[in-house]
Amino acid sequence: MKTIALILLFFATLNAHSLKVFADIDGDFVVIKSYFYGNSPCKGCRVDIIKDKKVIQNTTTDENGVARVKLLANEFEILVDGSLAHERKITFTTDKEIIENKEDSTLIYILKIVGSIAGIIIFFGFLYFIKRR
Amino acid sequence: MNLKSLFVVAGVACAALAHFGVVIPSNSTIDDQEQAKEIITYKFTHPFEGMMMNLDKPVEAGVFTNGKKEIFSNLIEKKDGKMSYYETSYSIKEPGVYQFYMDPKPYFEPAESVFIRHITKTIVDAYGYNDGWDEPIGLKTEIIPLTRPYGLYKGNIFSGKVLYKGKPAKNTIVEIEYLNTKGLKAPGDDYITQEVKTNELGEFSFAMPLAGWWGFSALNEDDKKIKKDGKEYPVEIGAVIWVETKDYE
Repeated sequence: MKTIALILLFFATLNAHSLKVFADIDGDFVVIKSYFYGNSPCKGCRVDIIKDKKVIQNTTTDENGVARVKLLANEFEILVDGSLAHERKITFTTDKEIIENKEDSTLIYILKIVGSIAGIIIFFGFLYFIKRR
Repeated sequence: MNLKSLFVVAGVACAALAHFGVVIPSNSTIDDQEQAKEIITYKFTHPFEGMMMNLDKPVEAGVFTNGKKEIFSNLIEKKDGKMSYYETSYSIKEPGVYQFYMDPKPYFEPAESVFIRHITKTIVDAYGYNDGWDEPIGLKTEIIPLTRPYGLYKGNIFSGKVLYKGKPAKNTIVEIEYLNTKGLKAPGDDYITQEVKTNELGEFSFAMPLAGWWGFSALNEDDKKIKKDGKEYPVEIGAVIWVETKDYE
């Protein structure tokens, strides 16, 4: 009976410390702050960024309950797992323009040019090959 | 009843009403970004009777949060009939407990030959931060909540501690009025302003029977007088706090 009472008390305490999640834009990043009611940070808590029911990014919060992720979509869900039955999911929306990764876009640009040149060489090479026959 | 008697009765009725500084935000708790753009209203009024008094531009108005004070410079004068009051907007950008306050220009009440200075505050919680609502913000006199001053239901008891120059103000009268926006009628004059006294530790409690905004005004005589027309007058210094109660939905 004493054990049951202790467990009930434990859960009552948990309820009083509900998990909060707050997110805001900082440049091209989303800053996620997670804390328990009463401003106790959710330290080292797993953070999942979910888009179309798929986890597209994940990270963990620091000592202050803060995590930063790159903004990859205009609408997604943020799920913070504070363990011990503490889990909070919020929907985050922003109309901020998504900036593509410059390195990636440069690589794609180079690949496109190389591909185009290769296509031209193959085309004229094929014509030359037919003419020689 | 002759005309003279009527004037006497009217004078007594006016004296029965309590003056209150008012600082009220559009939301006492913030759960989402739509609620986060606060409109703060500053008034000087008899809250239950709804009688406005003129409020000169406050000497100082601002917000105290996370140990920092921000003074507002964007107060806008509004009119209710001939009476002035002020408003400002403030966007809450992150979780925190925000203490909005006003230190008004002392008002001279000729009927009582006294200046009235009601230093008024209200406390807002944003995104369940819930830390720091019991911190003094360094006002000359202020009420420190002993009950969390937001997220209250009607019928809850509100307890506070009155400080004057940082020390507990014992045996201080605390006047309490309901901001009557519903046109309620009191059964008699004694019901309009409720009163409690602080104990030896400067503490008081009061149960709030209605949903809405409640003002608590702890009154003391200031240690400084104000000169007017070559004569010194005492100053009634008030520590005022406004809290909101709600009903179950």
